[in-house]
Amino acid sequence: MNAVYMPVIGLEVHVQLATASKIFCSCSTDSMGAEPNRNVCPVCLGLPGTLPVMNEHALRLGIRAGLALSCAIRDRTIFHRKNYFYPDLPKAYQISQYDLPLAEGGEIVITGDDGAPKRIRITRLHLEEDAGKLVHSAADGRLEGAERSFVDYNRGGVPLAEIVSEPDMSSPREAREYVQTLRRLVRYLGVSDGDMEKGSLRVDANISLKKVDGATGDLLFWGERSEVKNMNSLRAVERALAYEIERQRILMERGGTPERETRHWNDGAGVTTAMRSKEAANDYRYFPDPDLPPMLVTEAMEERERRALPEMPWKKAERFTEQYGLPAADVEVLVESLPLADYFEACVAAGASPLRASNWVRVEVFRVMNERKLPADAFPVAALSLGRLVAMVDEKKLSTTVAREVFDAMAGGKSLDEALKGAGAAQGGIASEALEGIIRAVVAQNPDVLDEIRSGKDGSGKKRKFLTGLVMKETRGQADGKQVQAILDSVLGELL
Amino acid sequence: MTVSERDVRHVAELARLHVEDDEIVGLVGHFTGIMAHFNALARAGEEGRLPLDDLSPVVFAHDEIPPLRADEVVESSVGRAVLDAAPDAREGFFVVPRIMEGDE
Amino acid sequence: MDRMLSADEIVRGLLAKEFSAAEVFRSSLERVRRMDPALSAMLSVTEEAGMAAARAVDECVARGEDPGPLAGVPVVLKDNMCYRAAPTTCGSRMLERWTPPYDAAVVTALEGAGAVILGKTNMDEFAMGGSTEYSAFGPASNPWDPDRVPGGSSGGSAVAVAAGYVPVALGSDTGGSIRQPASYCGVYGMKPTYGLVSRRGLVAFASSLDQIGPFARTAADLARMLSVIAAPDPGDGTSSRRARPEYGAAVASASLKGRKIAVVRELAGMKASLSPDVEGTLARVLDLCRREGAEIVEVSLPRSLEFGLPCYYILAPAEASSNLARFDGVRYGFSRKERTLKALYERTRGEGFGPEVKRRILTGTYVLSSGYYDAYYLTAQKVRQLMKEEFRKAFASCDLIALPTAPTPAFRKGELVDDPIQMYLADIFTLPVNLAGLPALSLNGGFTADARPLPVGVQLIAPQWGEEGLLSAAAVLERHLGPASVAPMAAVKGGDGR
Repeated sequence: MNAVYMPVIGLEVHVQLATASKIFCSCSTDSMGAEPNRNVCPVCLGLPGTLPVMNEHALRLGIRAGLALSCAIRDRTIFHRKNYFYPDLPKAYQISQYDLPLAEGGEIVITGDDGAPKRIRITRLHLEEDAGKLVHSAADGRLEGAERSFVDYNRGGVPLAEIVSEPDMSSPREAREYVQTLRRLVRYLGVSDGDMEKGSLRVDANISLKKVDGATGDLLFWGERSEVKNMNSLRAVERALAYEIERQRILMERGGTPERETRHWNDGAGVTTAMRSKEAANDYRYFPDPDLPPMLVTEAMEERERRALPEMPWKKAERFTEQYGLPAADVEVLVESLPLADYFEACVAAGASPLRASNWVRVEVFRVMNERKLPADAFPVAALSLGRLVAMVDEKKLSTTVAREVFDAMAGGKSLDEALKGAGAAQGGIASEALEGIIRAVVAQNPDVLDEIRSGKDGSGKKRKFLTGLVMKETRGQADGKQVQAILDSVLGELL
Repeated sequence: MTVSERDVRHVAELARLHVEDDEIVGLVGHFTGIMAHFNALARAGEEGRLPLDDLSPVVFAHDEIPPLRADEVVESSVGRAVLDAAPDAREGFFVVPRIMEGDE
Repeated sequence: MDRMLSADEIVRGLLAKEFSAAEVFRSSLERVRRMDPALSAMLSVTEEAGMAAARAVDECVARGEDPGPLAGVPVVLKDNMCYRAAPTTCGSRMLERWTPPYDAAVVTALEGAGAVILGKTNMDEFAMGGSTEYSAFGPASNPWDPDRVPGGSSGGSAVAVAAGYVPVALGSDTGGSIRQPASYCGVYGMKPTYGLVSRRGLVAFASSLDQIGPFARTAADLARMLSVIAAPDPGDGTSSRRARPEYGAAVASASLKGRKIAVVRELAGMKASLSPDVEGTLARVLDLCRREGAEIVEVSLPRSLEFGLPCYYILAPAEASSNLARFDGVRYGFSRKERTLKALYERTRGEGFGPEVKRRILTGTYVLSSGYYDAYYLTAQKVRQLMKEEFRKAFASCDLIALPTAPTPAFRKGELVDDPIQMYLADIFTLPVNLAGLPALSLNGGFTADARPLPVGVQLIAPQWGEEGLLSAAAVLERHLGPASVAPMAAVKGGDGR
């Protein structure tokens, strides 16, 4: 009998909601580069006598994400307390949601392993507060010491949406695809920056293996699932799951059974290790938080968020393919970020041809963004200007080379007109009188070439082409080739 | 339901509460006493003497839905003061005995 | 300044420039100095901050400005309300040296009204108890008989008012912690409707039940205090936004004519656990009501009286086990130096908390734990709704319900301290009110015939937001019963300052 092992993967994704203040207090959520315990107050430090007050924007973003995932939004939703002791949890309970989450029963479509669209069901989306951060040592060695850990509560109380999928993914690739799709979605929605490196999007995976009879497809055995934590990049998600599948498969092949456990992905070593847990089963003693009365999601609120939904990235991809006739690879890059997709469309609206606009955005715009580490929505060249520039290239009024120079000048802060002038180019190309002057100069500077033409040695036209090339170079490619030929012919005719 | 010494030790562990051996007997006695009252309530519920079926587990004293907070940042300088008074703090951090990465 | 002035009289006298706020404050301090060594009602005295506040009031009066409705009135706070000028210990070793970097909403309100905070009062640790014997800093004594308890958990505040340190005080009431000590000490104590007074800055015991309320010696003072502290607070999600009346008006126009006051049918079956003094006092007060034109009717509260106790002792400890989990020795308060995190947690909490707090944390943890949640916590939450409904129905046929505050007058120190469940039974008439979120007050209905007469309280319960009805009834009865008496210094052994 030939046994086949089939992975069953479900993901829990924590997304940091893009609010200015924390979920239950007015501290800033932006702690990049801040000193430890700078963005804290009595509420998020859990000092005695303090009370949480819910941030309206966090609720709205949660609703928006729920709607985008096609979830049903609960009209009265409440918070529970999840009780456990850990130094990063100042109240020794996390305010989270339990059996009455904000949103339930949605779906998202990814590209499955067979290339066809695949629905991944969304179990629920709920809101909760983040914990603080434990530091075991600092880069500069200030906090070295084998005996202590250090706690920073800046992140404590930052609003999170936890998005739980059904175990609908069957490979590490699909898991990665799911995370990528979800990340793009939350970015489109303005719900989160989705930055995995900063920790604003975190992934935990539940994974088990089904052992199936290869011939009949009968289920022979279904192992316990392990929960894998600490995957901090898309690549880590893929690698950790691939490792975990192998580990469980080998274990099962040797007659073992995977245990239900939590495992920690060690990216450096490329392995998962079982986390040491003192209690066999956590007992979080959930109960409704008596400090936070139910939140009401009115129809008006839901409608407002529904209206705030942008065109979904997968819809946009379909449209870009149909409307602009772009190749799949182009579409994928352009729809990854909403500001970029909008930028592209604005270029086209300004008159650029879609294919050339796409190339410019994917190559030149990306290059400048990467060089300067700029986000797409802070790009210095207005889409209208780039669109007009590309249109000039389309109309052969400018060569690509000059257009790049113009673009760089615009990226440096010049307007389109200034940049065009600076590059010696003007709309409509070079006047024929000017061109004739350039051609006469070129010919005059190359008497040896003229002699060779005179002596009839240019039967193949190579020398003429050489002169044409020099003219084009002199005009920085702005001259029209045919026009150059015609003038050159007449000038040579005079001289021969 | 009766409560054993093991049960008391288990909840003490969950509650991260050290209890001395000589406290245990008293606690088991107390649990036994108070559980008699609790069990009377639980029984009344189980036996259907109380119409509990349609009731929600969520109870608030009044039905007003509070307004939510506007998403505005207010700086607090309290972190420093709390750190200064903390049992153990260093370099702006609260300090605890070492926890290994991967511990839960 | 020897006669104990009411808050009303202090404000009037101050405005008439008969005396200054500083004089009133000094007189209060003097009384504390002479009596508190014997009574142990105070955990801290904020002399400096109080004197500064008193002087500010005097300057305000001198400038001819409105110094506020509690101008120059000395007031004490139960030591679970945050106040920057003093530690907030909650009667616990855990917070012995912890001074909060913020004020409770009620403290801000009091200061805004011109009140002068004299200090913080003794209490059962984290408000868990009914005698103030579970204070980590030693028990307070009943000023009418120092061998007896003043009740609790707000015992210190009740004593401060009964012994005449201050005319008014604040306490907190989770299951009777204002009303029961008010009854034992012979003063007024009110637990407002849940959501009337902000809980921001009150160290939580059981968040869904806790409510701050006033103690006073007159109904008018009770109303004056309530008017100041009963404000909506956007910083407390459970605070009601409804408009609050000026409660003084209810006292000024007090009448019981045509009001229906209900006795509770089930009380008849509980006589075995009721002291005859309590029964007699309740009858006497009802008689006064009848003479004032009230109609005495009967209502039935079977579930509240049968299941209130288990319901409360499931829910309050459940919430407390979570509320008190933050005391872990990491950020503030008592902390043991230990080598492992687990030891830090367990030893800090094991030593920082006293026996009753531990019992409640353990019970609360148990009823929330896996396998028991449904049978205990969930059932109790549901029964609580039945109780709310039961009260709602009862109030369809009456305006107020009269019950004893406690089954007996103040018990002796040490009598119940090792029998917590017996102590819990003393809350049988007060707990249902918290579970239903209703307002209630305890007023002194008279004294026992003992050699050392003890006060006996009567509890009036109103429908939700019905504080005016309570104050109106109390004001009418006060015409017959007089304001609450100040315990004479002679009653306090060794309390004359020597």
